[in-house]
Amino acid sequence: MIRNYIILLSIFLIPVIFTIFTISNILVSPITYALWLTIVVGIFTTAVYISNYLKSSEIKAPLVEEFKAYKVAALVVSYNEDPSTIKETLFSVREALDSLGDLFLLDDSTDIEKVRENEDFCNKNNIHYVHRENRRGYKAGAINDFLKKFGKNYDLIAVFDSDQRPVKSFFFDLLPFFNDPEIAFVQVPQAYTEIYSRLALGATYQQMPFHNIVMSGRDVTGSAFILGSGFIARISALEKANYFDENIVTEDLATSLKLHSLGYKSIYVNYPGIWYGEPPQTVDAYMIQQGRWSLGSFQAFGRILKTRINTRAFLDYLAGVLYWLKEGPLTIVELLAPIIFINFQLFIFKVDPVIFSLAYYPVFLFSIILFVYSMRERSYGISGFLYHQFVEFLMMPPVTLSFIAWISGRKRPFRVTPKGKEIRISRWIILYIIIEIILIISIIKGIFWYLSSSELALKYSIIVNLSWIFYFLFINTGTFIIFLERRK
Amino acid sequence: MIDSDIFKYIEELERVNEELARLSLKKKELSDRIIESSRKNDIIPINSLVEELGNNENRIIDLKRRKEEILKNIKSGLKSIETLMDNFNTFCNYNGIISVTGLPGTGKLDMIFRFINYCSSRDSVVMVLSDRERIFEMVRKISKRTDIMNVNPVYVEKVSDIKNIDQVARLATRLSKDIMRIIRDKRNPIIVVHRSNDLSLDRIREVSNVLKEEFWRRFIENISPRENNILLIFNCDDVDGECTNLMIFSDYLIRSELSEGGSRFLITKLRL
Repeated sequence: MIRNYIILLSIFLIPVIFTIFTISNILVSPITYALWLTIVVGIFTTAVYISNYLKSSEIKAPLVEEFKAYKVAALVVSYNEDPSTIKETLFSVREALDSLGDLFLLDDSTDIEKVRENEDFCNKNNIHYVHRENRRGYKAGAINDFLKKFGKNYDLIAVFDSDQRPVKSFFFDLLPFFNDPEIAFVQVPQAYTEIYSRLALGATYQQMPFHNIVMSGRDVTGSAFILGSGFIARISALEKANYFDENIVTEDLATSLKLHSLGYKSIYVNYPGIWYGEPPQTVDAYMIQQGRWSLGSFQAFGRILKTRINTRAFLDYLAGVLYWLKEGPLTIVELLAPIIFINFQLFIFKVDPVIFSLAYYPVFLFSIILFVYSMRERSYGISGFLYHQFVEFLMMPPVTLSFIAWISGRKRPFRVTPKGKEIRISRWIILYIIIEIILIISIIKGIFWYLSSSELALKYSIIVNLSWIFYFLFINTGTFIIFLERRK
Repeated sequence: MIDSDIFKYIEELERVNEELARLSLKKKELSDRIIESSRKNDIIPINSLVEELGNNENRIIDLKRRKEEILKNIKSGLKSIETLMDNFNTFCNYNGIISVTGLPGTGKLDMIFRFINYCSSRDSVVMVLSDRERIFEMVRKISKRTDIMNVNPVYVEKVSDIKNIDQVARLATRLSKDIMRIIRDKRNPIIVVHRSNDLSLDRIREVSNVLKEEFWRRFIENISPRENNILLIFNCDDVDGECTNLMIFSDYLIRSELSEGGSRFLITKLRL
């Protein structure tokens, strides 16, 4: 749609105008542009966040609905996960499902021992076991194969990852929303309850604003999307959407978009419907998860642009992609800009440093204060904010790699988030040590440059750039709290 | 025998509540005027306003004390009138509001289910806010014809966020409209609310009684049980006085207690 392209072009063209007026050196002009783009994207995503925050306190769905018994197929999906975890999840789902339908384990495991153990368990406990030899379409493919084979026997499917367990009243709570035939799916927040590491704690804090503000706001604007687990979907709607999209690593986002473009509605119920959930426990697991999520978002970008949904919902979807752009490649630019300035004495852009500081720092501080304020009733606080920043800085490399893979059209293998509680020092630490060293050297050089310079404007420029380097040094040092956690 | 004093107390309670609501508004108005005068440095009006505010505050304190006394008297005046079963027939044909209160585990829900099962001439709906699995089990076992009305799981949390009278009005109106939408095809329905503690603001300590009563007033006004031929039954766990505000709007009060022979129910007519 033309509207979508106009909005997108505005975001990418405004920095071009700023770049033309502030260009200092043609060699660094791409960085100049990227830096302005970072600012514009930052303002855009903050504006969308504020809007979602204001809407997040509303309840869009009906306050009361009559309970009707739909026939549900509850699916637990697994791929080489620990069988004991799967068993517990199956018990939990079965208890919640009561007499409302049937329970299936869609097991794509390739480990023969695990396949045998899972199958035995299902046979003994009257749970339907479905196993595929090929992993076509991965999780989306497994669900699609199920739908094509058994879908006609049910009204709804509920999907749970093998480490996400629903509360006993899950179906009683959520099925009534399907009385409205336009509702395609109902999603609840994922739960991170098993926190055994600082990384897991950081990932949990990172999820809090997403679940409580972003998704709650998107529920009201009509753009809440499927999170892969802990959702119930109407089978007839999925059929109309041609099932789950198997060409994108995060099939849930693309499928939600398709359903919304078909005129279906979604509901996000921000309540603890999942009582047990495992976050990634290690840096490597987290990197894989964030790499997959970001790649899925980048891959869905083309579809988002072509979709026909209301403007507000489009802005939400667009902000979702731009968030990944900001946390990946644009963070690298933000990091590089002051380093280049200090070490190579190259001006990234020609702007009066005082005016820049007066214009940008209040916006920057405002966004931080607003963010913490928006989470004031959620046990988030300053420590939550800091943990959130540290883990977000950790995802810079995998997100950037996903971005490069998407731009270059290179396929990356689908990798599930590894589970396990053993904490090892990740090899990614080497990159962060290098960053730490570069930042410290830059600070020393910057101080010397400041002391040796006599021009006032230059001194201000050095201070502005040093302040950014100090900021990144603080965040980068914070990542070592996560990297260097002792083995448990 | 009905303790006749109880009606006097209830009438007085309504008067006290009305005056308290008025005084609360006046308090806000006086505070605003004091702030305004202090901005203009008008010393004389400030002194008289402060004095007026003090008198207002003293009256509020007196009224609150009186309200507590009245509530105590109402509670102690609730004597057994008739046995429960004899009243099932009467209540089956009744349109209005019945509050069933008592400590948790005293058999309220069980009695309510037996009652709605007994009234086969009317449709029945249980509005569920908590103990969902238990309610489903009871419908299955005791009253299969009863429909279940599910309250959005986010509702209870959102109620806690309410801070002003506009929000109260909006919530109560929207809730009652949603209920009326669902019951429009039901035959003289009996609506059971389980539990009224979760539906209202009564369990939130930070919220003033004025807002709590306003919620019930709006909600009941919109449902209008008598005009719409509805019997509204509130199941309320009597914990920390959470059922007090509801009693003001109820026609009958059924208090449950555990006695040697099992549950015992004391019925009191609250409105003439």
